[in-house]
Amino acid sequence: MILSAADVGLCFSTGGSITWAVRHASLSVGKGQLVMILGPSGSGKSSLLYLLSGLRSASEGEVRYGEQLLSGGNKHTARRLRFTDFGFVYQQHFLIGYLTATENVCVGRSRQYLGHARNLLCELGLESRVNAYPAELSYGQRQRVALARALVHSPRIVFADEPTASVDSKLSVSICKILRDYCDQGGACVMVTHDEALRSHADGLYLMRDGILSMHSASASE
Amino acid sequence: MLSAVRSVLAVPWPWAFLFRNKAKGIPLLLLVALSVLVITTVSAITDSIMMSVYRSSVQPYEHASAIVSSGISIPLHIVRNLENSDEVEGMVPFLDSSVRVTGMMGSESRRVLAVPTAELENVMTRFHVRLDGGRLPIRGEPEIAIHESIARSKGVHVGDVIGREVDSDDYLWGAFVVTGTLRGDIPMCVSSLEYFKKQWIFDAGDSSYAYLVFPVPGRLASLNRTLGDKLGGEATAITLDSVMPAYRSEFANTRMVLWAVDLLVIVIVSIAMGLVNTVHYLTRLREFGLLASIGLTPAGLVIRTITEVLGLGLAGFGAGVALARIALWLLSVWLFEPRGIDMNYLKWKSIVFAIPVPLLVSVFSTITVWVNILRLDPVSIMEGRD
Repeated sequence: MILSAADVGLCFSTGGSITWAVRHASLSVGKGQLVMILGPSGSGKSSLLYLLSGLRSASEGEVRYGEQLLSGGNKHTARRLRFTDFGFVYQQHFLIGYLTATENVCVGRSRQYLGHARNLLCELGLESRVNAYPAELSYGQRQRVALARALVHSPRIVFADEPTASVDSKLSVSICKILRDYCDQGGACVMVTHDEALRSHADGLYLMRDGILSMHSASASE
Repeated sequence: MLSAVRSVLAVPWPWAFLFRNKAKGIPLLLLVALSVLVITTVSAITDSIMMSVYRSSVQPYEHASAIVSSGISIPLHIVRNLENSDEVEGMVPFLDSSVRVTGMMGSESRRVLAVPTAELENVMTRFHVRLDGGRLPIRGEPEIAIHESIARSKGVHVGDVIGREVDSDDYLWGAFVVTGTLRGDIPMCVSSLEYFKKQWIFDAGDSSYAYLVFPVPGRLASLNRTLGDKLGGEATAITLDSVMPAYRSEFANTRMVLWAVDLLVIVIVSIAMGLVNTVHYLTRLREFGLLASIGLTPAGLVIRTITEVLGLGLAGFGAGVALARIALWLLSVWLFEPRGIDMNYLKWKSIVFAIPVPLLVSVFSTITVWVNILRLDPVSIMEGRD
């Protein structure tokens, strides 16, 4: 098991009252698995993803990456793992405007990744756009650059937060397929989405509603 | 910590933002460059003023001390006693006067040294001054050889006449024909003591009213320590040690003004840069949030910021120094040199005053961004709650 969460919860204190964004959530992600979390907007999917990736500390329960405690553990460890072992795809592409597509792919990383970044962009069909700036790319192209940024350092697990939220169905399928292929090659992925049409790509399916996570099926085919 | 330092080498180069956003980078570069220009120029001009006064009033005493009678002349036994001293290589009688020249801050005095014509070359050699054109004054004649900077400042040439008769600002009484020009570190004039004595209303006999005392090489300091004691109240010693305090006191306020200008410019520029950088940081919040979310440490982000600002500061410093050199060269060639004022525009000392600019600008800018980085919450930024 690469990643596991047991009874994790995340609460916010607002005006003296406590609001739980996630409560008693448990899940596990194994090597080669694409785990999908389905749910409507505001159900706590993104919050759960932040807990799983160490971007937020859990208010209760624990998240483990392999044997390492991620939630409530050492912040430095969580940060190091985010840099080396985790990849992120956000709802918006968050590309940096003054960097080329290739530079955006390896932003924050060693310059040795530049060659690999170009190859990755070519594999994603952007061979003619490697030196283009974000403003010169279509929305779909930008999202593929953001996807390449999440994959460039060959992370063990990719966290994707609604990566298909603002794209057409054709591109949604394309993005899902890329993540599916990545898992098939030995990676793993936790993907949050509200698009039920994508569930066929998942190995494990969870439903999220009002902060409560429930397992829908171990395999999407079920 | 090592990973934080390594983040400087990561993609993109820390100064890529300013380099590729020239509309934002160039004004900041100019801000630093102009502050360096102001400080370097003020420093160079101040240094030149001080140097000009130093060369004329203090530097002669690096080569010789002077003794001046408390009455009409210095008793001969004192003169003989000094000449026989181990620390004295030679003594030359003299009288002096002065002419006025235009300095950077108004009129400045330049000494006219009247020595026996037979000793003129000897005295000039000891003061590291040489004849550059024309000839030296003839014994007993109202003639004068003047430093080329004085000639330029007064706009006179060999054959022209100087003195109070032609310029009421000059202390040098009468009219003296310029016979030659001198070149060397000390801006001075030389004339014939024999002529001066003819005009002197007192009869000093075999002695003289004043003497230049040339020390044995390397013995100036020890000579100056004992010189006063050897005069027995009959004369006053004028030495490097006695003229230096007056020089320092004269320029104490000038130095203070220079430091005040330096400090003021640096503080203003640092605050301006800090504010501008904070604005830049806020416009780049998502970039910082993204870098933080993928695992760059706050220390790494701060070091990247320091590198970016320091790079800008150093580039601005280089540009400022280059601009200052050009500005000072133009000032020197067009304004000061024709008026006989030498400007030390190539001195590194002037640039040293501007070194705090890039350093303090970097520190101040980094601190303002640092405060923001410490409060950085990548999730809030990614969710657009920034």
